[in-house]
Amino acid sequence: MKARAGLRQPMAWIHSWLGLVAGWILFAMFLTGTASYFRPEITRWMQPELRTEAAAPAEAARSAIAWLQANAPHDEQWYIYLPDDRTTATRIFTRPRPDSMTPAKRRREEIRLDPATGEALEARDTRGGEQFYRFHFQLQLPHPWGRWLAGLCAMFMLGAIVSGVVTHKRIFVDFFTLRWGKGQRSWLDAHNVTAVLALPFHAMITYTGLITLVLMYMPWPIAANYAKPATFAVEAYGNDPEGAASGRPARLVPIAPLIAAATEEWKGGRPSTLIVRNPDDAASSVTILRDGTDALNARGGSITYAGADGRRLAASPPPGPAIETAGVMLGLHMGNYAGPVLRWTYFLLGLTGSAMVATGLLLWTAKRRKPGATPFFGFRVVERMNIGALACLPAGMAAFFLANRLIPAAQPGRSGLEVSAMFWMWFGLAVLSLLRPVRRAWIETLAVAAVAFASVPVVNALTTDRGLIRSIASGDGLFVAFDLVMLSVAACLGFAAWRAAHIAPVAPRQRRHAGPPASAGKELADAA
Amino acid sequence: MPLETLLLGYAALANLARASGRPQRVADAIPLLRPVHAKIAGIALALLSLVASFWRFGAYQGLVAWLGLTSLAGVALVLLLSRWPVAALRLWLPAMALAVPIDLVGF
Repeated sequence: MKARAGLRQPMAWIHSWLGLVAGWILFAMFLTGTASYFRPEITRWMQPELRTEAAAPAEAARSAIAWLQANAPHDEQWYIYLPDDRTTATRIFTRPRPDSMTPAKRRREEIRLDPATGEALEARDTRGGEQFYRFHFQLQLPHPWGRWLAGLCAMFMLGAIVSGVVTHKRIFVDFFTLRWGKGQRSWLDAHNVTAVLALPFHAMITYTGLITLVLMYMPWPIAANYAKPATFAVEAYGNDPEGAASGRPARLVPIAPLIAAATEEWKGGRPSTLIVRNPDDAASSVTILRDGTDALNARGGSITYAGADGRRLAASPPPGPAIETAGVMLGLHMGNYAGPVLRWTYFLLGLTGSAMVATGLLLWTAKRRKPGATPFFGFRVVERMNIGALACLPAGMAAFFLANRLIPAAQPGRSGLEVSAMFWMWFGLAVLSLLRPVRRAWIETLAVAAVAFASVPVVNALTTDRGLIRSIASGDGLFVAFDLVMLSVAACLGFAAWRAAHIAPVAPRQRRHAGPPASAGKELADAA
Repeated sequence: MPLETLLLGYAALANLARASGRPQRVADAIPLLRPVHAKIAGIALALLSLVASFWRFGAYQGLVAWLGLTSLAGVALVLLLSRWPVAALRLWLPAMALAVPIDLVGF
């Protein structure tokens, strides 16, 4: 018992400082990662011109191949991403044959096709939901630095979770306790509740996030056992035949029977992607990748057929235990397998995780705030960073959506401008908040974020024909849900601004034997 | 919409909250149940929600769905408890009652 009490204080210190050092980046990772559970839906909202209906995989594949045969028959490789329940357009790109004029492996621009008619779709250029998804583990930094920094923060998060559980003395007693308007006590309650109630999710999402990039963070086992990393990939995932062109022209066999054969071999599993190599050659091949959304394992298998006669050439080997485990971890993290109810559950628990990080950061300042005393430099830095991250990032995300509607659809380079709008809003608002007293800065930045989110449905209704009323009338669930989420977020941020404006400062609890101010660990353990 | 896991999870946690004795002011809010009975009912309902989750989401998603939906139910319960503790605890009965037709009808 005494040993556990002795362990608790250093753990509290670790929890406090790991959480603080990585907290702002973790909040951004959590919030943007949460948004990216609806990555395809966000992209569809950001291209309101597209109104395609989903089509069967074989139909979409047939129309895409017909388009490619007409427009890029001699390219070396075709990539076809088939539509599904969430992405209604077919996405394609090709790689030209390398020659003296074209560098090897360069890919042409991605094109979207109507899966039913095979016609190329014209829509505004945008990064869509991909922006949040990429940001949440690359942090808009050059490769590999963003992934390294995200991984480091995830390791800090894992350490903070473990140390937080050890620190928390009354984890079950405080399970249902949330008291409002009691200053530091309330922030501690909120931090405990958001952390403990969704603890399985937080632990899972952090650990699986690290495992997703584990080969990057720990490349040494492969380096020690394989002369070339590619050998490991072949052994682990199977050899994808990449034969050279024969030089004899030939046409591809119809795609529908190949898709039917693959679906039968997968016992009903859906195809997600087609890779066609040397499409105009007698040595052509068609690799069909399985959709990973019907199983926890995100890595579906693949089957390769000869393009000229439809013979089955190869298939990926059944995954071993380690690869299967890694695939399941990836699936659990990304949640692609989740239907609508589980996807919303992921989303709401992700918001709970964001709230856990946010309340932890606010608790750090609440514990050290001394009315009447001049705050120390570190305290002031943390306070300003909290405003910049917790209030200004949401404003930046709203600006990203607003820019999508306000930048002309035909403007060159508009997708980059949308991203710039997000960061200008985020960091610009954070810099402007430095000009205001802390309390006013909280109120005003939260209010700006609330107004920005509330503006999204209004601007959407003014600039497109898919406003909330029309979407309700036409039964367009995606656009209705998007507008309602924007209004809900605006209401939450508005409520936070209102609370910041009206809450009375609570005097800190008097301690009979107050410890030195630097003993943050002891304070946290006492409070817990 | 497979929400019975969420509703049964809410009913389970409301009973466990009652049994924990923390919301003393509302100790009698849960009809018919004393703390010890509330604890038994809470555990039984938690098990029932687990079974419902496996029933609805299948073998490979059942546990994941149960953990996620029960966590969400817990967040909702704590938010309600912090503002309307009596109503939050009393809601266990309607939540459980609603879960049955949802499960049967498959709504």
